[in-house]
Formats: sequence, structure tokens, C-alpha cells
Amino acid sequence: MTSDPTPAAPAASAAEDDLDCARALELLQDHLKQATGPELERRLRRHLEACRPCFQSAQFERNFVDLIAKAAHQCAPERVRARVLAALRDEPPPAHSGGAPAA
Amino acid sequence: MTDDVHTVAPEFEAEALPHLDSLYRMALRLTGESARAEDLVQETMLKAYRAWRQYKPGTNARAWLLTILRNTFINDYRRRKREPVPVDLEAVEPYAIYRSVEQTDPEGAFFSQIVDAKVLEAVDRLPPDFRDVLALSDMEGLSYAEIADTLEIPVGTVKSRLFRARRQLQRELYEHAVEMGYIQPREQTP
Repeated sequence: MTSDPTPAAPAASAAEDDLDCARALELLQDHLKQATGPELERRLRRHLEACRPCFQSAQFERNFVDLIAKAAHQCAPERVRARVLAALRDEPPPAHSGGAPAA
Repeated sequence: MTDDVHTVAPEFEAEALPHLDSLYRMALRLTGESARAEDLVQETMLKAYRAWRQYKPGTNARAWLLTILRNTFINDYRRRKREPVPVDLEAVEPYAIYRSVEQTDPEGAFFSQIVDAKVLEAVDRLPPDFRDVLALSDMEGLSYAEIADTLEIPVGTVKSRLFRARRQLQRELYEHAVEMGYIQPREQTP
């Protein structure tokens, strides 16, 4: 057991924390994509509550992703909408998806 | 018959047209200029309209439209634009900028000072394969699986490209923030 890198858990909350920091950081990307799965997500949250550096890393990644999302709030110019609508009006309406095509 | 004016199918108007902004943004990322982005959006919407029967109601219309947009771009547009020299994606250093700020600004508050235009410029400077994954994920909100379908690459590749794209973008934005004085550079240790 001498190779066990995990120090003895000092606090009650940390005792339930069974993720090491490397694994937690690995999971952050999936966590931000809401793709972690419920069990890993629970374990990650427990770790983030107990480990300040990892909590800050998570906050850093969140701030970064928020910045990208905010920058992405670009709208199409009104003329694009108008052009597209005009082009669509020149098209015959598409067949209804439920309707069987004529044999 | 080309003079005929029709009513746009209401289902299409309700389900597809709300994603026009999303298509326009992705078209801007792909083409790099607004005139060609507008043409690409119009062509995408026309193709989607003609193929509307193939859309499965209840699935993500945005992902479906973005797939059409990207395929249209690859088939009709990419040839006309000189793409940057492809980089060796595996060689891009996944350097964690977090290490540079963990003493001064560990939660990355400096990010909020960076203006949107600078973020978009930095995204557009990413290698295209990184840029596409990052834009679909972090700008358009597609899931790993939807990005994999759109780009026709495995989910594992989506994840590793997203990881590297974010790291590279973080480094660029950090350098910009240092330049602008939003954050003090890390002291060089001798």
C-alpha cells in the first residue's frame, strides 16, 4: 500500500470524496457538456466541494465557456431573413412528411 | 412557373427558421466573410426546405440544419476559398493556461473583460478542424453525438478536438488579456 498517492482523508466531507484530482480534471469537460452520467457527476460534485484547487479549475473552465457562449450571440442581419423567405416563397411547398408519395 | 409565389410551409417556418441565426454564425465561421455566409445560409435553407420530408420531427432541427450547412460548404464553397495550411492536430500542445493564472486569478475572472469581437477573432484563427468542433459545441450547443454526426467523425475525436481547441483558445485569450492589461503576466521564475 506504499504506492497509494491519496493522503488520509482529514475531514468528514473529504472521506466520501473518492476521486483524485487528475481524474476530476479529466471529467470537467464532460461535466460542462452535461455528459458525465449521474454516478460520475455525483462523485465529481463531491470532489469539487472538498477540493478548492479543482473547484477553482472548474470555475475557470465555466467562465471560459460562458465567454464563448456570450460572444456567440450574433444575429443574422434582417436582410438575410428577408432573402431566405423570398427564396422559400419561390419554391413549391415540400410534401408533407406524413403523406405517402404517389406511386 | 418560377413567378409563382407560395406560402412557406408553416412547420418549416416554425421549426427551421428559428435557427437562422445559428446557421449564419456557423456560416461566418466557415467562410470568414459575410457576403459568402449569406449565400451559404440561403442555399442551406433551400436545400433543407426541399429535403424537409427527411427531417424527423422531435430530433434536433438545429443539428440537422448545421449538417446541411457544413456539407454544402464542403461541396460548393471550400474549393473557392484557400484554406489555411492544415496543421498537425496531434502536435498542438495542450498547454493549460490555468497554470499561469492560478496564483493571480484562479477562477478566470479576466475572461469577462474580453470583448466579443476579440473572442470571435480568436475562434476564427483556430485550425478549421478545431474551430468547427468548438463552434458547434460552445457556440451552438450541440451534444458530442450531434457534433460527431455533423462532422462525420467519432465521438472520441470530438472530445479530444474540443479539449485541444479550448486549450488553444484559452492561451490566445490569455495573451490578449495580458496585452490589454486585464491580467498581470505570471512572473518568470529564474
